[in-house]
Amino acid sequence: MSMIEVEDLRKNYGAFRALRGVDFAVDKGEILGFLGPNGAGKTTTMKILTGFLNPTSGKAVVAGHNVLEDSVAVRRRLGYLPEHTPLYEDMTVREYLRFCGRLRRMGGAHLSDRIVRVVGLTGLEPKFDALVNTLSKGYRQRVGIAQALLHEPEILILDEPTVGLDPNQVVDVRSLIREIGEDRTVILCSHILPEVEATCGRVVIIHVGEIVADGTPEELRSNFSARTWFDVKAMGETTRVTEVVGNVSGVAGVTATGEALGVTAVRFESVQPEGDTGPAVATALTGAGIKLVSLTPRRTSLEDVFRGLTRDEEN
Amino acid sequence: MGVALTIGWKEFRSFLNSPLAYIFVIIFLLYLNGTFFLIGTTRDGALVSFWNLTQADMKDFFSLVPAAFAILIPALSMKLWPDELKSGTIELLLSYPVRAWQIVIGKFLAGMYMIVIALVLTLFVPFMIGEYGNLDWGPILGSYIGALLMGGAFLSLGLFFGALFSEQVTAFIVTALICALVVAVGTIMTNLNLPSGLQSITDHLSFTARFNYLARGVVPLSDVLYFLLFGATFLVLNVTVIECRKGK
Repeated sequence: MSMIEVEDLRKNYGAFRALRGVDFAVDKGEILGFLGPNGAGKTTTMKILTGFLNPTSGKAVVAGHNVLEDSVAVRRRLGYLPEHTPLYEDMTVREYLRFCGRLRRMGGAHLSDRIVRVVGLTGLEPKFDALVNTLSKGYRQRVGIAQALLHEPEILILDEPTVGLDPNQVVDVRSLIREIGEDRTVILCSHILPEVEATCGRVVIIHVGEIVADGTPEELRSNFSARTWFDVKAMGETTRVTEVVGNVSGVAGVTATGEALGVTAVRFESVQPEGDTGPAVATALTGAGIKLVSLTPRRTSLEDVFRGLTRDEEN
Repeated sequence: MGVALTIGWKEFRSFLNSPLAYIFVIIFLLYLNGTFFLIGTTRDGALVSFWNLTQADMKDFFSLVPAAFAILIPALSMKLWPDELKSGTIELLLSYPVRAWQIVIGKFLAGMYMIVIALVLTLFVPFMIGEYGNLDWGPILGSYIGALLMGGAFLSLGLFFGALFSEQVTAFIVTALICALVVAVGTIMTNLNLPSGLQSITDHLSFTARFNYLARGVVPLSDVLYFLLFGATFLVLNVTVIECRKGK
């Protein structure tokens, strides 16, 4: 069942067409990575889903409610962490979370329990009574995540949730997101590609207001390029190494990439399954009396896909 | 309404954390009391202060309130929207199941709490005058009701311009100028010998004239409605401005 359905969403800011017909859907229990360069329309899309902006045309349905017609019902089911984590500076974390709960008509013991719970989840205990304007970037970010989780929303939209966190906190937040994603729907906007790869089951890439890719990270990689590359380092002259490697079946496009201290680096493309080509190359080199230093398969990364799809025709 | 009260309380707390709010309330009180007790106001060409009052009334004290409000209230209202819009907290606030009118009413309430506090701090004056003479409490009550109504009208004006310009200084200047204008059309401008047709229009627009009727202690319905309608109009416009930002 789709928790979020977006159809032909368009948004113009004056003459600027920020969204040019965006379509995607997110299922329950899915963590969707929403990727795109700056200005591609990521944040605009999130602002439309959360009811902050109205689309120029198109439809967005969240948890069965149209964001234009039934915005309050949508927002009741949604937790949102906006980019840059805007917070009220002159409140303590406790006061702020209490305020957030009251806006959601929570109260009494239930609200107190939930506050204790989200403060525990996000590790905010040491700063519970600190003023927001005294918090470091990492703690601010956690307050933002805490308020988004407060009412146990069915849908969570996080815009750059790990910006400003230290590496330990990043790991914590990612595992928190994965945990939440088990029974809820999460959209994670991010620039950090390894993060998306590590957390998201599915990825959407938006570029100049259009969706340019949609699928699992694996699908994106194989659709973009099914090729596998190998980097070989071996003790021998460049011409000899190139020749030996080039004669192995399943190898194509051998290029020398460097030579230093008698070690030659060569890159080639495998046109057969990598499980066949790799050992065959190793055997051939050893058979020719060339010592193999390393043989590294190199697959297309999500970063390659991202750059390949979004680098051209900037704006 | 619960949501509006929650927002109102939060904004009120934020006023109490803001030095500027204290400064303007103090300036308001200093201006009223300093003029009334030390300098005096002109009545029929003579300077009248607390010390040479011939009868126990607060007419002179309340005659200062419209001009004092024209500074105090824009100074309070300029904080309410621009802070929210500039810091981007509006984006998070509007992702909650909250309607624009609830936010507008909440902010309006916070401003009203501050106006009530400022007026409560003037209450020692009638009690003091009452000690020395036989004070008629009717006009005093009427004056306070009038001050609250006028204050609410100014506040909704300031709130609206804050949302429109999302810039504190601009909101303050525009609001203060308009407040000063609607105060002046009933006072300074009555001395300009305007043609009678124009004069009746300015009398209708004037906040001061209507405030003065209320200050007589009669509380005419038309004047009460004038202030209420003025305030409600700008609150509705404010909601519209916030709703329109979605479609920008």
